[in-house]
Amino acid sequence: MTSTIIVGILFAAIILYGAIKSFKNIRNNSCPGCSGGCSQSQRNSCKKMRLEK
Amino acid sequence: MKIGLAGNPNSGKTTLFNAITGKTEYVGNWAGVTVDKKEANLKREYNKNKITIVDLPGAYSIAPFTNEEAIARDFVLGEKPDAIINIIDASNLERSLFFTTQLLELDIPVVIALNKIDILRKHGESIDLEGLSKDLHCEVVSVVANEGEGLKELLSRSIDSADKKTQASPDFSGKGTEGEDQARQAFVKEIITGTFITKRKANEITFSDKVDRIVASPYLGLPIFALIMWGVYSFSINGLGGFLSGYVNDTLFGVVVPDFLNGFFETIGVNTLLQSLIIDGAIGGVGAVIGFLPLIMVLFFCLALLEDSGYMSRVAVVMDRYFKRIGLSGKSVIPMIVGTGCSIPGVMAARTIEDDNERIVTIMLTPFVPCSAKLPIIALMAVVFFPGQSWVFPSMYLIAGVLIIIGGLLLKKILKFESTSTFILELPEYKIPSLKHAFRQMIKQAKSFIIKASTIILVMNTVVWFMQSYSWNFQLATDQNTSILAIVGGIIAPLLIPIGFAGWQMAAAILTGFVAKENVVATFAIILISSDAAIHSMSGPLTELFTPVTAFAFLVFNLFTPPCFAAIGAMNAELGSKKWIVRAILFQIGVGYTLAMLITQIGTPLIYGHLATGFIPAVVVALFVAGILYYLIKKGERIS
Amino acid sequence: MPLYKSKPGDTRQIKNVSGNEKIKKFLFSLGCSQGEDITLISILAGNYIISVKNIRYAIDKNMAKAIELV
Repeated sequence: MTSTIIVGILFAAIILYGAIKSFKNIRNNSCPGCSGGCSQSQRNSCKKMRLEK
Repeated sequence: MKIGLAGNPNSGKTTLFNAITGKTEYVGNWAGVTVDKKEANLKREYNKNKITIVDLPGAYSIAPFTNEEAIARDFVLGEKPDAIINIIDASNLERSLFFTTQLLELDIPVVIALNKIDILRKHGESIDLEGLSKDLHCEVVSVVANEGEGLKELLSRSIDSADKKTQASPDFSGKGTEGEDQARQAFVKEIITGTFITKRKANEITFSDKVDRIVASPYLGLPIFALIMWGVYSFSINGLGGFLSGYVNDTLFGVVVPDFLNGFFETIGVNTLLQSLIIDGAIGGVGAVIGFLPLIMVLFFCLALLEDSGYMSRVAVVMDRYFKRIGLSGKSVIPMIVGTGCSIPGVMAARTIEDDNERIVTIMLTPFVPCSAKLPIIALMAVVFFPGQSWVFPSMYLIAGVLIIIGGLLLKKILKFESTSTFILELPEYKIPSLKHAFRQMIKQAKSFIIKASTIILVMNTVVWFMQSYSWNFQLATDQNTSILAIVGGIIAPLLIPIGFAGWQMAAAILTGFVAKENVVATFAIILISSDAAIHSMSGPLTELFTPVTAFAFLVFNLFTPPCFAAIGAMNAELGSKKWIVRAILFQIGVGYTLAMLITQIGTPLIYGHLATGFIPAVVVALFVAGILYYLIKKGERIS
Repeated sequence: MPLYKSKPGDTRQIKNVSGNEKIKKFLFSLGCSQGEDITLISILAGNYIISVKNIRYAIDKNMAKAIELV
C-alpha cells in the first residue's frame, strides 16, 4: 500500500509538472523543448507593428 | 546590465549568443534565421554579475526593411541596452560599417566584434584593428565565435565600455542633410581604405561561383536538390537511423523496459491499476514515440551539415522561378526549409517576406512541410504497411511540394493578389560543414524531442489511458468500445467515413494529434496494447484497422490537415487577425481532407478492385468541395 | 544600360537605381548605390547573381531592370 502511494505521488508530480509546462508553452505558441514561439512582449510588438501599417 | 547583439544578417550573432550564454538557439548559414529577439544570462565564467544578453534579428541598416529588422530597431531605440556588441563578418567589413556608424550615433557604448577572422586570414586579407578602433572611437575585438576564440576579451571590454555609459558619434560632415546616407557611405569608404587590406577582386569568379553554376542551373538545379534530399532521407530513415530505431522500438521499449518495471513494481507491491497506467499508458505511449529518436537524430545531423555548407540559399534561388508562378518568391522557400524541423519557427521565419499577401500565403502553406513531429507517424505506417520500401518518406515530401504548388495556385486564384515583392538574397560562400555544429544541432533536436515526450506527450498519454480504461460512469470499461475515448472518438468518426476510416480509434488518434503530432503514434500504442503483437510489427493490430491504401490516406490526412495547437497559435500570432486564421484552418482542412479522400476512393478500386467504404458520401463531399472552390474562384475574379 | 542586359563577368559602375523608395534604401544599405562597382557573376535559373563589395547576392529580373549601369 505505501509503495502504491509513493509511486502514485511521484507519477502524479511528473504529470503535473508536464501539464503546467505544456500549458505555459502552448500559451506562447510553442511546445515544451521547441525553440520556436514568442513571448508576450514580442507578440505585443508584432501587433503594434501591424497596426502601424 | 543588458547587452544587445546587433549586426548584419548571417554575421554570426546567434552563434556568439549560444557560445556566451550556453543556449542552443537555432543557427543556420543563411540570412534571416533569427526573426525574434532572444534573451539569456551570460555564463558566469565570463562575469560574476547578472548580465542579460539579447540576441537580435540581423539588419543591414537602422531603417527597417522587413518586420524582423524592425524588432532590432525597436530594441536598441526603445529598451536602451547598456552596451551593444556589433558583430561584423570580417569579410564583409565595408557593408557592415554602414550599420555600425548608425549604431554609434545612439549614445550607447558599442564594441565591435570582428567575427570569422579565420576566413579573412585564409583569403590573405587583413584589418588594422587599432586604426579601425581609432577611426570609430570604439573598441574592436577579433573573434571566431564558433571556436570560442576571443570571447573572453570581447566580453570584458564590452562590460568596461558599458560602465562608461556614453559613446562618441562618428565624425563626418553632412549629418541631418538629405545626402546623409551618401556622406555616411563616403565616410565608411575612407575608413576602409585606411584599414582594410585585400588582394581579392570583386569580379573574380571563385570556386563558390563555379559550384553555383551547376547546383543552381536552370535544368540541373531541381534534380540535384531532389537527389540530395532523397540521399539524406534514405540514409537517415532506411539506413542508420532506421536500424537504430528498430532496435530501440523492438528491444528496449518492447521488452527490456516493460519487463524490468513490471518486475520492479511487483516486487514492491504496487497496485495493478497504477502499474498498468504507468507501463501501458505512460511508458507504452512515450516509448512508441521515443523509439523514433535515433532516426530523427541522424536526420537532423545530416540536415545540419547540408545547411551549414551554404547550400540552402541556393535552393531558394532555384525555387524562385517556380514560386513566382504561384505569386510567391524564393524568399518563401526559407520558412519551408525551417519548417522541416518545426512549423512554429517556420511560420515565424515568414517575417522576412515584405509583401503582406505573400507572407500570408507562405504562412498558410508552410505547415504542409512534414515537421519532425510528423516523422514518427510516417515511420510507423511505413514499417507496418510498406516494409522495406524506401519511397514512402520521399513521397511525403514530394506530395508536400505538389500541395504547396497547387495550394499556392488556388490561393492566388481565390485571393487575387499581384505579387509586388522583389527577390533579393545574400549568397554566403560555400564552406566545409562543421561536424561540431552538426553534432550540437543534433543534440539540441534530441533534447527537445525528449523534453516533449516527457511532458506534453506523457500528459496526453495518461489522459488517453484513463479515457480508454474508463466508461462515463467512472467504472473500469469492460469493453474498450464503451470507454470514454470510444465515445469521444465516435462523435467525429462519422466525419471520417468519406475518407474510408471506419472506427473511433482513428478519430481518437487524429484528435490527440492536434495536441502534438507524435501523439498519433502514442495513442495507437495505448489503444492497441491489449493485442499480443507490438504496433510496429507487420502483422500487428494496425493491419486490422487499415489497408495499405487507407494507411497511406491516414498519413496524408495527418500530415496535411492543420498542424498542432502550438503551430496554429503561431500562425494566429503571425497572421494577426481572426479572419485569416479561420481561413487558413479551413484551407488546410479542405486540402488534407480532399486529398486523403481521393487516395482512399480512387486507390481502393484501382488496387483491390472493389469500392472503399463511404464511397457515396465521398462523392457528395467531392461535389460539395468542387462547388465551394468554383464559388470562391468566381468571387475572386469578380473582385479583380 | 540596365544590369539585366550586361554580360556575365562584366564589371561596371552603377549610374542610378530606380523603383520605390523602400527598395532603393534597402539596396543602398547593401552598398548598391550610385558610383559603386557591380559585377554580374552569372545568370542562374532566371536570377542574376551579382557581386557588390565582394559579397554575392541573387536578385530577380525585376530588380536587375531597376539597376542602371554606366
